[in-house]
Parts: sequence; C-alpha cells; structure tokens
Amino acid sequence: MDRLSDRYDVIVVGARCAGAATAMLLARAGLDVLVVDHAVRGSDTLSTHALMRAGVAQLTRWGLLSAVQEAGTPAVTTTVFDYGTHATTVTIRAAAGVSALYAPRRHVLDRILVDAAEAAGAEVRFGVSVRDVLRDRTGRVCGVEGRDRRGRPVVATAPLVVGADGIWSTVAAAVGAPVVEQGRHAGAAWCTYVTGLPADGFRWFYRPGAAAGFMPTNDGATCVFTGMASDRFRVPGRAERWPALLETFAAAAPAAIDRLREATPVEPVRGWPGTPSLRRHAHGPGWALVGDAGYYKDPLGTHGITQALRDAELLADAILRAAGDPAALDATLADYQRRRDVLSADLFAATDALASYAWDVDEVALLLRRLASAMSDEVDAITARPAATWTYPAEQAHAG
Amino acid sequence: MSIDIRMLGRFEVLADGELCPADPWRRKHAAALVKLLALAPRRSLHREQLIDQLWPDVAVTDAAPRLHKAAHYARHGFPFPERALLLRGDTVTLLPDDAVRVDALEFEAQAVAALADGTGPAAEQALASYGGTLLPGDRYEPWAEQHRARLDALHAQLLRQAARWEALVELDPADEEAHVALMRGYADAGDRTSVLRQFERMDRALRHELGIAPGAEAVALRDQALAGLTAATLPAPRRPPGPALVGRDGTLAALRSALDDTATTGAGRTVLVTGPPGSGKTALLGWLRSEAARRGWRSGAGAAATIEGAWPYAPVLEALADLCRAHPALLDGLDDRYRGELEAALALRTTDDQEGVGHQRLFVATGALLGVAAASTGVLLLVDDAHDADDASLRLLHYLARGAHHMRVVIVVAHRGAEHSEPLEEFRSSVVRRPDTLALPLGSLDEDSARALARAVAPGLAGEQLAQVCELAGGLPFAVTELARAAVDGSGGMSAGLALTARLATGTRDLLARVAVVGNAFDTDEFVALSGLPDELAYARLRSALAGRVLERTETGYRFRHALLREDLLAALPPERLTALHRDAADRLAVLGASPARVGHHLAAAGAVAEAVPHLLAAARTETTLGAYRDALALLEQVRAHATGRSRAEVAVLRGDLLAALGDRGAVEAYREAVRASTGELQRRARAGLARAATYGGDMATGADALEGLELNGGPNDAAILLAQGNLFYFSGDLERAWDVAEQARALLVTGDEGWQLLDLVSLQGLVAHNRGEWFERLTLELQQGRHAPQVAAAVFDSHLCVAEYLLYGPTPYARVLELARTLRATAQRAGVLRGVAFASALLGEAGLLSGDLDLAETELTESAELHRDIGARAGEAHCLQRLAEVHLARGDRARARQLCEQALPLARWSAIAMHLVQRIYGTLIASADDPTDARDLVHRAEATIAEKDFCSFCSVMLAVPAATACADAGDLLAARRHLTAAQRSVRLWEGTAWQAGLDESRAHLAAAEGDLAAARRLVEQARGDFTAIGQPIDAARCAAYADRLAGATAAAPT
Repeated sequence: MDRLSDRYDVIVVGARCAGAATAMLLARAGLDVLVVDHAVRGSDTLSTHALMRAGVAQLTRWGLLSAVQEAGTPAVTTTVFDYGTHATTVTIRAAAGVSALYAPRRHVLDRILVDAAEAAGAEVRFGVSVRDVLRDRTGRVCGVEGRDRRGRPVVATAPLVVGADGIWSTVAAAVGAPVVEQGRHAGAAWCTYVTGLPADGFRWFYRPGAAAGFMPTNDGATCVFTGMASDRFRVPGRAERWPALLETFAAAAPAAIDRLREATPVEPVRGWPGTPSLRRHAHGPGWALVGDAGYYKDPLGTHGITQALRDAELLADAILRAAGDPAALDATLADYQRRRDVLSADLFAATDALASYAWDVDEVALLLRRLASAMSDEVDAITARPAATWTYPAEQAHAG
Repeated sequence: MSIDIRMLGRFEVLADGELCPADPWRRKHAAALVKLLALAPRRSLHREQLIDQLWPDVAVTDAAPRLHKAAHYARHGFPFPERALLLRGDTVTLLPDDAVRVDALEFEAQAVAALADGTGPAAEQALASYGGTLLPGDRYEPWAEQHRARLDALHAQLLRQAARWEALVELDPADEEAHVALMRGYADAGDRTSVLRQFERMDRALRHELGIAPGAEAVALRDQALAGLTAATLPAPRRPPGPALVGRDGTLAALRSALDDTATTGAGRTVLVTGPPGSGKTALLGWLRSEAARRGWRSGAGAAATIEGAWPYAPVLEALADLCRAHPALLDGLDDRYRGELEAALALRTTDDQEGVGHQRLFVATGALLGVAAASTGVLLLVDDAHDADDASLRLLHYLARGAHHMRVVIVVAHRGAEHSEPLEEFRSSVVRRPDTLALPLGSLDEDSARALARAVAPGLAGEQLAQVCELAGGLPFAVTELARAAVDGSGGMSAGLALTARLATGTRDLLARVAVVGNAFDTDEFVALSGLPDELAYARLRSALAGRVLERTETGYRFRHALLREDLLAALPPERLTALHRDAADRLAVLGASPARVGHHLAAAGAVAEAVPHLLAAARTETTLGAYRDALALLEQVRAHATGRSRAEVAVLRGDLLAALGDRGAVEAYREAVRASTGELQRRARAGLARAATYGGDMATGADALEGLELNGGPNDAAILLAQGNLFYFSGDLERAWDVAEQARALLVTGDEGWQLLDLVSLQGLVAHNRGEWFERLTLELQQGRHAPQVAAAVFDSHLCVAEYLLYGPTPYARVLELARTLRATAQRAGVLRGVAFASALLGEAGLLSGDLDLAETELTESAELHRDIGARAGEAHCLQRLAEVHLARGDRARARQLCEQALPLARWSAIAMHLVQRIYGTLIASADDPTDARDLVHRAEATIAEKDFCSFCSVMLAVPAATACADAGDLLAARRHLTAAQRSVRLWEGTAWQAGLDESRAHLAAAEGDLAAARRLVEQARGDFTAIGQPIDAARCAAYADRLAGATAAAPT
C-alpha cells in the first residue's frame, strides 16, 4: 500500500481546471494539498475551450494569463453570433481587467494550472484512480483510497476531500451527493480541430435545431463543433465522423460550410452524446464538490471552464475562511454552495433551454442575451472580490 | 540641388532652402502624387499602386491619363520640372537625381532609433524633429491614413518614453497611463486636490465609452487622496441618511412592492415621483437605489438639471452610462452597432449617413441595452429632475417605459410637481394612463412626522424651537432639516425663511454664484476656471464650500448639496450681475472646450445672442442628427432674430427642415425666409424644401414657383430638387412625370443610404403606385417575399400604412396577414428599424380589428401609435389612432372613438398621406356619431374640410360609404345618393375586396330611407353574407343588427 503521507489538509481528486485551480489557491495559502488524477500528466480532454470574461479575469488575478498567452493561445476580441437572418458582432473591449477572451487547449490550460499548484507546494499524483472515500468513526469523510497505474493500492487522509473529478464523479458517488436539480434537455456534439481557418474570433452559428462554432485555439488550429439535440445524435464508424460533423455543421452554418470543407482536420472527430445538466449538493462532512462534479451544464453554454475557475476560488475561499475548524468549515461550505448556486441559477436555466434545441433564431438570441446578462453578474462578483482573499496565514494552515 | 519636402504639420517644398511656389499644390491630385512618392521607399511606386491609392474607383485604363495630368502639374512645383518626376515603364519616381530630405522620414528614422535606445533623452532628441501630425491638410484622404497612423504612433511612443504625460493627455485625453503618471506625480508632491482633478479629467475623457471607467491604479490613487481629506469633504454616501425619509412609510412600501412585483412577474413598472423642491425626491431615489442593490438588482441614475445647456437625451444616457460603468460586462451581450449608437450619442458625435433616422437606432440601442441588463436580474433606471429634461429625453424615456413592460425594469422619473413643460405634460399624461405606472406624489409632512424628522436631525431640539422649525418649514423635509440644524448650531436665522446661503461670507457667495450659473454639478477644472482664481486659492475656496456643506463631492466632481441651494444663490443675484456671470461663464467654458450648446446657452442668457448664433446653430445640428427635433427648434428660435448673413440662411433652412420633419405647416414660411436669406447651393436646398413643404400643404403654385428655373447642376441638392419636383407632379395629378422624376432621383441616391431623401423617394413612388392602383399588389408581394430582409423592413414606413390597406381588405387570409406582420416586425426589430416595427405593429392591429380580435387590435394599435409618436412619425400615429377609434366604435364606445378621431385629424392633415387619411378619419367620425343628426352634421363638416387636394379616388370609399349611410339615416336622400355614387366609383377600384359589402350596406340604408324595406333587407343580408365570407365578423354583426331592426320595422309597419 502506498500511504502517501500521514495527513494532508485537503485532498483534491481531479487535476483538471477546477481541481488544479482549487489546489493551487489552497497551496498558495499555505495548505498541505494532495491532488490525484487518473490521467497522465498533460493529457487532453473533450472541452468547450472558451474562457469567458470572468475566467480570463481570474487567470489574470492568479498571474497565469501570461502563461496562456505565451503558449500561443490566440487572443479573441470579436464574437460573431450568426443567426442566418442576421448576425450580431460583439467586440470584446478592455473592462474588468480583461481585454480579450481565450480558448486554450486543455492540455495547455490544465497543465498551466497544475504547474502553478505544484509551484505553490501542492503534491500532484497522476495515474491514481480513486475508488472510494475513507470515513472516520463518525462517518465523516477523512481521505481517499484507490490504485495507481500498476494496480497498487493508494491511501491518503485529510480532513477534507474535494471532488473535482468531472460529471461522472467518483467522489460524488462515494459520498452519495444528491442531485438537487437536473436539466430537462441534453445536447449532443461533434468536435474536432482543423487548420487553415483564420483566427479571427469566436463564431457561433444558430439555426433551428442546430448550432455550430469556430474557436481559434493553440498551434494555429481552430476548434470546430456542431451541436444538436441528443436524440438526433448517431454514432457512425470512426471514418464517417468527419462527414457527420460536416453534415450537422452545414445545417447550422450553411454560409460557413465551404470554408470548413477547405480546412484540414488535424485530429480525430470526437462525439459527445449529451447528458442533461445537473446540480449536486456541493458539500457534506469532510467533502466538497467543485467543477462539473458538482455542477454540470450543457456545453452549448460554453461556460464550463469559467464556472470551474470561479467555483475553485469560491471553494478555496470557503475552506480558508474556516481556518481548519470543522464546524466552521460546514458553515463556510454551505456559504460556498449558496454563492455557487446564486451565480449559476440563471446560467443553468438558460443553458438547459439552449440544450433543448427547440428554439427559433429569435428565441435563441434571447437565451444568449440571458447568458450574457448572467455572466455579467459573475464578472461583477469576481471583480468585487479582493484579489488576495486566498492568502492564508501560514501558522493557521495546519491548525486542526 | 537639395530639395526639402516638409510634411509634418504642413506641406512645403524648398529648393536650396528657398520656398517653392505653392500654386501647383492647389491641384489635389498633383500634390497627392508628390506626397505619396515622397513617403515611398526610394520615392518610387508602381503606377498601378499610385492609381489604386489616388483613384480607387476608376479603372486603370481610365486613370492613366489622370496620372499623367497630375504628374504634369506636379512637375511645376519644382524649379526644374523636366527632371522632377520620372515615368519610366510602369514606375513613377520623384526627384531621382537630387539630394532630397523628407522631414517625415527623417523623424521616423530618428524615432525608431530612439525607441531602440529606450532612454528619455534619446526620445527628447527625436521629438525635437517632430513638426506636427503628418499632412494635416489631408486629414480625410484615405491614402494618407496609414502613414499618419504610423507616425502618430511613433510620436506617442516617444512622448511616453520621454515621460511627457501632459502632451500625451493632450494628444489622447483617454490615455490612462499618462493620467495615472500625472496623478502619481501630484500624489508624490502631496497635492491631493490635483490628484483628484486629474482623476476627474481622466474620468471625463472615458465617459464617451460605455462601460469604461478609470482602472484600479487610478482609483487607488484617488482613494489615497480622498483618505487624506476631512470627513466633511468626502463624497456623499449613496445611501441617504435615514431621517430624510421620515413620514414616507406609505411611499416606501409602494416602491418596495413595485420592485418586488416586477421581480416576481417580470413585468416592468414606471414610477413617477412628484413633489415640490425640498420634498425629498432625490433622497427617495437614493433610498430606492439601495433597496434595489439589496435585491441584487442593477441600477443606473441620471439627472436632468446637472448642467445648463446639456446634450440631447442627457439624463437618460447618463443613467445608462452609469449602469454600464457599474456592470461593464453587460456590453459583452450588446451588438457593436448598438454600442456605437450609444457612444456616438454620449460623445455628441454625428455621422453623415444618419440624418433624420439615426435617433431611431439610438432608441433601439437603449432598449437593447436594457434588455441585456434585465435578462438575468432586475434593473432600476432613475431619472431625476425631469422637469428640466429636454423633449428628446422624455421621448426616449417614454419609449423605454413602454418597452420595459415586458422586462424586469423599473423606471423612476422624479420631477417637480408644479407646472409642467409641454413635453413633460405629454409624457406624464401618456405614462399615467398606463396600468403599470405608479404615480407617487410627495406631499407635505404632517406635524408629527415633521417633528420626528427635526428631532432626528437635531436631537436637542424641543419645545417652542421645535414648533417654530415645523411651522416655518411648512412640511418640507429639506426645510425641516435645514432649519433644525440652523436652530441647533445657530448658523442661520430662522425668522427669514430658509435663507439657505445667507450664512456664507460674501466672497464665497459670489464665487459660488459664478459656479451656480453653469449648473448643479461641475468638476474641478470648471470650478477653477469659473472662479478666475489661481489654483491654490480656488482649491481653498472649494474646501471651505465643502466644509460649509454648500457643496458636496461626487465621484467625479462636485455638486450643490441641494438644488435649492443653487437656486437660492441665483435668485439673490441682481439681473445685471446674472447677465455678467453668464457672459463670464460662456467665455471660460469656451476656453475649457465645452460643447457649443453650453457656450451658446450662456451667451444667449447673457444677452449676447448674435454671438451665440454659431454655437447654438452647431448645437441644433447635433440635436437634429440625434432626432431631438423640438429641442433643436427651441435653440433656433432663440437665435433666429439675431442671425445674419450665411448663419441666417443656415438657421432658416434647418428650421424649415425641422418644421417639415415635425409636420408643422410653419415649414413653408421658414423655407420662404431661407430662400430670401440664402444664395448658391444653400438657396437651392431652401427652394427644394419650400417646394416640398408647400406641395404637401396643397399650395401647388408656391411649389411650382419655388422650383421655377431650378436646373440640376450635379451638386449636392439635385436629389432633393428632383424629389420636390416629383411631389409637385404627384400632387398636381401628373403621375407619369412624378414617377419619371422619382426614378431619376433614385439614380442619384446612394444605395444603403437611409436618409430622409430615400424615405421621401419610397413614399413618393408608393403614393404614385397607390393612385395607379398598382402598389397594393406590389407591396403585398414585396412584404411576402422580403419579410426576412432587413432592407424591406427599412423601406416601409408610416406612409405605407395607408397603402397596405389592400392587403387588409383583399383576399389574403387574416391568419396569413398576421403571420406576415409578425415576421416583418421581428426582422425590423433585429435590423433596428423602428419605422418597420411600428408599421408591422399597425398591420397586426388592423388585421386584428378586421378579423374581430379587438383585444389584439387595441394592444397592437396602441403600441404602434405610441411608437410612431416616439419616433416623430405623425402620419403613422394618426393612422393608428383612427384605427383605434374603430376598435372603440366596435366596442360601442362612440365617445372615445370620436375623441381619437379628433386627436388624429390635426396629425393627419399636414402629413404626406393627408389625402388618404383624412377621408378615413372623417368616415370613422361619422360612423361614431351618437345619432343620425349628428352624423349628418359631421358629413357636412367633412365636406367643408376636405378640399379637392385631399381627394384620393381609392380612399374616398372610406368616407363615402359612412357618409352615404349617415345621410340616408338622417333622411337626406339627395346627399346620400351623391355619396353612394362616389362610393360606387371608388369601389370599382377595390375589386375583390370587402368594400363591395360596405357599399351594399350603405345601399340598404338608402333603400330603407326610400321606404323600400324589402330591398334594404336583401342588400343588408347580402352585405352580411359577404362580410362573413371575407372574415370581418364585426361588420357582419353590424349588418345582422341592422337586418333585425329592419325586420322589426317591417313587422311594425301598417299592412
């Protein structure tokens, strides 16, 4: 058995953006943090990529935006919403400390966050699959157990386990975190990367029953996605996926299909069959959930990474405010959940309606307006927070 | 020979140090050729490159001779023409064999070297060779843009490297780094007031951009400076002190429930807060804002009385800008076009292509911004001091208040309760009628509340003193507060009323009066300039006014603690002193670069009206561009009698244009004056305007006189002249020539231009086609095919409403018309074309009316009438009011129907569609009469009023049918037959429509009057059947009722 350490302050399960960001903030505040992830370091994952203003604001505050830029992630200053009957162009201008949006590849962004967590002192173990949580005599979660890549058992203990392990969260299942709200709709998607398209901003296309988009990302590539209601999603053979993507793309963006046909796919097409959005209860004795593990929204809202970063900060803030006192922690985690839910409620509702694909172009424009409005609340909430709330007196870090 | 070409700050050529003659450079292309070559590498360019830049729209083969010609003239700018310009093969070279110095290139080389060096002294050295911006005389030439931008950027970089922050701010008033550096410098020197002053300057410069506010570093420096100030001089807290709202429990409860209702139902409210000065309106608004914030709402606030001579829409735009500053990410949800409209209005920028229609897009943009803001949470929009608001602001507020009905938006408008200006009265009376409006008058406090307030402000106050305070204050909270404080600290006498500023030293009073003249709010720059004192002394006075609680600091400057304090100061000034202060303010504000409206306002107030003319004329032009027609007219009225020379002509022409746009018959006289006062192109424009206005008014002779001898000259007024001619032909009945001239005008108008001329053209062609009976099919087809096309939405407008009648009465099923109208409305909404939205709403309402859905009809027609009014489209408003009258008539409310018709008549009479609309309005008026005698009288009135010129053979049916019925019912058979004949003539033009049934119904009335009841029954049954078949149930029901009456009469008749 690989007993990693006698005791950590916090164990974070999942080293993607929510987990790595939470670990980084806690480690920067002086906490002893272990991060485990079943994947290998620097791996990729299916993602909506786009970082909205609040997400960029946070990377800026954390001092990590320059790393994203240096990785060659193109700055996005224009977003075009194409509805067929008309198009809306929104120029992103400097405000709230943000002058452009970005859509980094996940192997870029997640790695930057993991590196920052490690630089702050967090211990990061890849290739570790968590199987269950450990509980103390009172039933309070006090650690995790799992296996490493060679199948050897791994055990680690801490007064708090954070599940940041995605929508199919093992931690959420192990602690029995109830789903408190579920969306009514699910959107499916095809997604890949192509070269040969100009990096001239985000382009979203909407037609009744279909959506598509271009997001310029690293290495001169553009992420291309097409979305549809999940009941229309069929999984053809691997060789048929590019034609399938083109076909659904043509339905959503007939004016841009020729451009896409001329582009060069540089990675296999990946599919997402869709699952309804869901909100889980976010905390309990000795555990908390962050990112998709606690709150998953359909990818069509392109808000997953932004929410992951936001909730990482809200959660880290809650953990640090409790200063190691378990009773206080229960209260601050409840506050974390409340703040998460308030900021997400409208985003959740609007995203669920989007995922229905049962809108016409005017209705989808109203839903997107609602998203923009809710994201403005989020930016206000982020920028209203003092930049250094997560600094934590070192001497208190190990209290309790 | 050495040649110097100087291009920085000027354009000169010197040969061996001697200035060469400038004459050849008067030829634009010759000069441009030399300038372009001088800036090119090795002074050499391919001839196609030159042609592309100089004649971008001309084919290379056509442009080649022009290039040769330009080169020919250019050579003469040099002492040795033969070798100055060399055209060899495809290459053109300037001065290939001479030593040439080009200042711009030398500066560029030095700048690049200095920037690489990176030191301040190197930058200073390079800056010494900078003579100014590149070719200032070619500011608008596209070929110079790139070069200028490159050199300007280098210049700015050098200034930055040399830390010349003042120069940078002068170059770009929004340069944040420069402002911050200056603030830091002042902070290091311990000069807090200058830190704050610089912050205000930066803030002012950034205000033209929505959602942009000084950054964190600047705010930190400001806060540091504020931290060193005494409490009394700190910004007033946003939440007012509690006591100010003593005794207002009912009002507070009503406002709380307005917020809660809107949050719950998603339906917006408008709140009108009225009360005398000092009744606590502003305090109430402040309280409401904090209530909204507590609920997580967003809010924005503006006030009308902030400065004298403000810009159009000022308080509303201020409130929206305030909203965006607090929530800049909202703009991520706003289309760039809308943001551009709002920013242009905030910056008073005017664009050429928006004449007369730009304001509609501004309206749509404000609505869109509110839509984004309210999509996830509630929004509170506060406009204070609306009694001082301009007409444009109130129209925009009216538009927003109507649109807010479907949004989580509460709009609060506060104003004094006494006499209202006409625009405010119009706004109020319309808004108050709406069920979602809450009117909250703030009355006097009762005795107990006044006492409670006085005790809260001055806890030691008791007995006789307390009673005296309450008695003197007359229940006004502000007075109670001031008197209570004065009673306690002995700072002011109570016996002489409020005497708010009496306690001030004479010097301070005098200084504050100077500031009070310009408005309720001002910044440090203005205070210092108006004081006429050196900075330090002015700062000291400012501090003492703050400490004395006359002024208070705001986030971006200062204001009088209460409007009454300012008014008190002004009221105490003798008239000649006030005049002198206005004069002084005009001069000092002009130096500060204040807007023409402000400078002109003070000049006019100082009696220097002649001097104010150019300022107020410029201000009126801006107002016109932004659609603030009435406000623009008011400015022109001020200076009209004092303008001379060209200004007089310009004032007169603009006045004519404005009156014409407002449908005011005074336009004719205004244009006459303009023709007398003007010469050249301006006179051609005035004559075209006169012809158009006179023709619309039915005075063909004046129209013809105005155009007499006016030939096309390829100038800017040709299209206007053609349109005037076209209208004259049309209204004189010469449809062929009207159409031809309109086609000629169409060729002159640029595609995509949305100016009034294009509207005029579309209107004219529509009207011609209407009279020819062709337009109906054409419009129906266009609407059906183009309902998704923004250009179709942009091309329809109020004049088309009348033309669309065929669609309504014709064979198209109403369900189809409704679908068509809804799609068209969505298209117009997306395209930001309010005319199209209003048109489609009217069409929806009319289809609702005719198909018997009176609720739909009332909703849509009311909406359309109000939208037409908001955008100043009076004909459309009249059209909708007439249709609304029919709705009320169908419901049996004849009095309301008549009232609406009377409202519509004056609006219709002076519009381009008078000849169609007036007949219909009279038709409805007649049908709405209470009894046959009244109806007959109304027919007389219609006959007496409708002149030959008002006659449209198509639309005459709409009067002739009800007139025939009314005359028959009144027993005037001769007149009934006459009207019936007219109706028959007109109905022939309406083949396949419901008007045949209308005619049969009238015939039935005549037959009954003639005693032939059997024929009457047959005819009315026929009409009933036809109305039913075509889907007009209300008309069918009316026929059925008449048939019953006839049956009763038959039964009762002696056998």
